[in-house]
Amino acid sequence: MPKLLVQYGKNGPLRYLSHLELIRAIERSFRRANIRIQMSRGFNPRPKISHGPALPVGIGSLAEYMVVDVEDPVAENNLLEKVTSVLPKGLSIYRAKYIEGKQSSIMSAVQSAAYQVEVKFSSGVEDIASLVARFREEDRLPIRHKDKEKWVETNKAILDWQVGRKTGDVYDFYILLSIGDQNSLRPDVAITKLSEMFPRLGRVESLEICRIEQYVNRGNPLINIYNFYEGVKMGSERNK
Amino acid sequence: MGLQILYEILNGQDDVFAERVYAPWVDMEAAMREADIPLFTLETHSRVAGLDVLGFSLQHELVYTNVLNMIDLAGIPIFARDRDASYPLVIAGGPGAVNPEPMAAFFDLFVIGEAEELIVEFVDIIKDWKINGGGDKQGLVRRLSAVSGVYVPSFYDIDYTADGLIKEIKPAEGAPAAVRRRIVKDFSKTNVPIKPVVPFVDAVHDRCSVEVMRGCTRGCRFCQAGMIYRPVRERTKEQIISGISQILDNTGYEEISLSSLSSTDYTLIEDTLRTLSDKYTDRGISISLPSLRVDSFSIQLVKEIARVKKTGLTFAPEAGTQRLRDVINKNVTEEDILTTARTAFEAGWQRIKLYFMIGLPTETKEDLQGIVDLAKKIVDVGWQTLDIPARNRLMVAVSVSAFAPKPDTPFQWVAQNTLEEFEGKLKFLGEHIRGRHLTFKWHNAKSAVVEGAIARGDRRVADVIYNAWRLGCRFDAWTREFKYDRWMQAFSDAGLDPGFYAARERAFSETLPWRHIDTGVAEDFLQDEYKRALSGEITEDCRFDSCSSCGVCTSLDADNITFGDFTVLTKKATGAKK
Repeated sequence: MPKLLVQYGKNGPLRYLSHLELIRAIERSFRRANIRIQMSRGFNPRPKISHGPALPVGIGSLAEYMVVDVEDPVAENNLLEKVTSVLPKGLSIYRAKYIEGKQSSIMSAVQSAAYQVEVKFSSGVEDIASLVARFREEDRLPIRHKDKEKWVETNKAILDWQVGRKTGDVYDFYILLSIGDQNSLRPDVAITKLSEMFPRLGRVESLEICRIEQYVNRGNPLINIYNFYEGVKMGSERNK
Repeated sequence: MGLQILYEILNGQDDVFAERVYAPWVDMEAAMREADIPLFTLETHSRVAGLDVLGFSLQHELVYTNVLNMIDLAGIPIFARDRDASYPLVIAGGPGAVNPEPMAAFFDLFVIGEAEELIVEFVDIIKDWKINGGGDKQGLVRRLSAVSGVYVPSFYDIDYTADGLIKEIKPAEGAPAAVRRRIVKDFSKTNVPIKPVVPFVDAVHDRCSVEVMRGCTRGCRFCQAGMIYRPVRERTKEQIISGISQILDNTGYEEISLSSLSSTDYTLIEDTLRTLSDKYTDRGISISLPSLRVDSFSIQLVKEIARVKKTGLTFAPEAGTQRLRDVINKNVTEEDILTTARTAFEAGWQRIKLYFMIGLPTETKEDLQGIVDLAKKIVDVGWQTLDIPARNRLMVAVSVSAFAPKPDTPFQWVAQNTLEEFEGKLKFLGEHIRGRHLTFKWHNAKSAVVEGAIARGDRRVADVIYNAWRLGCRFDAWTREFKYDRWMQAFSDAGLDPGFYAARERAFSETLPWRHIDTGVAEDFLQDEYKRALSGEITEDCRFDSCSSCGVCTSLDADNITFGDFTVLTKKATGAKK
């Protein structure tokens, strides 16, 4: 049974789609492209697509992954072209390859994700890098999200936090966060926490976050999902 | 449905743009008002006030305050008399337009009936008016009023008697004594809309839907749709199959719905479902029928299509006793209902929903007790039919709503129950529909009272709707948003009594506020049906029995158009008679 690993992205207004809305939009796009997906068995059959960790609403991405059980092997290029032609504006498919059937799911494979963050605080500071450094010195912090507060071991959750160039009032961060265990942190929540810890930053005035990659490990060298799954030759011979 | 049809027809024209506008939910409305953002279209975010025409579909009375709110959010004066040519023409259609009077003050004109042909003539006139410089709004409205099916309320004067009844409806400006409902005579000659907008959010009716026929002649006496969409006009099977195939290609939908007022009455339903099921079931595309008659034939059909997904089953006996079902001309017997339930349980369903109305004309305590008894009998049938593990999941859900008489039905003259009567009946049912396998749900009787008062209202009710909106009423069909006290205040501020409109038995001699809107259904027929109702006489379906002389075919120069044969339908009707 051919399984297809697909890397796709979500941008512009469509980054406000919820995970379920996104899944439905993708399934409908495959149907429009006339790419048949295998259905699960049972009481309520569903297309066999397995997704990675849900992207929080409002965050864009260049690196979402899914594994699709297609009915017939279609050449990768052909498939990209067919699906791309019917995708709504804001969703993009970047690449796809056939992979071995028996492998760990994306959900269990993902260990960390990198984010590009552009943030504007209501009052800026010059020494943002030292604030970030002080923030990262803490072992654990109380994190509030959706009216719930819990302690997170932020030193484990935040794997990397680089401060990039400041453009006007907008700070540019590269943040690597762990995914998949209790010490995980959403990037938007981390930024809010930073502003709370240092009141002189003021409040978060605008925030744009884009997930730029997802990895199967947490240290150097980082191995991304696409490279982690080994490709198999399929489809290209049976070009439909 | 109407919205999608017109959307596709209008956008198929070279120089017309049709875009969608919806009522923002209360939190969004607050944010828009706070930030001074006027209502805009979804497609291009255009200001609604900058459009040429703003059209509303009036689906039922409890959305009327939303209509006013949307006009206001758009920055457009709410009353038609306050708008000059610099504002869009504000128009409405849909079932609410068969009694347009309560909303007459807010609209420049109404479209009565089916608009797929009318709308083309309509935009041609507007196009011509714009090319010639626009400006004279009154002139434009006069030209549009010549289109058959267009009703301009300002061309009619209403005189009232000292008792508040209508004395006379006086046409002016050369307007006809009555505006006749427009229909598409041969529905199978119109195209299936094949490019519906696919939403991202989880919306209702978000599926591939094809209208398999229009109209219903079963003749249930409480049902407005069963009167105002006559005659029955079917699509061909080929049209349906090819329409569905194109919609699926265009949308990627995972569910097909065959819609109509009573889809199991479509003469080619069995054949159509089999073809669809063979073609789509193994692709994981499910098929649903939104409206089911209470008969075993329907269950067999559902069994056929439920190979993919088994959703709940809903049946509408409407009334609890045979006597009352005869009064409302709901031609199903208790035997039908129980046999149907048995078939459904045998086919694997464990949960059945039953829909009833309270406050139907002539209703007594026995009829309420009948609802309780019927529900319990169905539980017994389930208990006997299901095997032991399935018995635990057996559930009969009884859903009850309060009857609001509607214009253009045989019950348009009857007094609606008062709130106290409704609440007493609901209390009785709540106390008696109890048990391990029974649930009881009811619709808010307070909103039915408001709905009933507006539904048969005259032009003076516009002030009530306006007051209610000013008092903050919005989304009245949503129980949590509905504010009964403010509606009552809105009536009293307008100096009107809701009971005058809702809970008063009208005389046949009375001039009803919607007399000048001619749906084609003869007043004689409605009176006769009302009399037959009171004596418990059934009227058969004219598709397979004699003509019931409702007047529609002669006055609209049309006919029932069907493509299959009636053996199955006739069998059912005979079964229902005994």
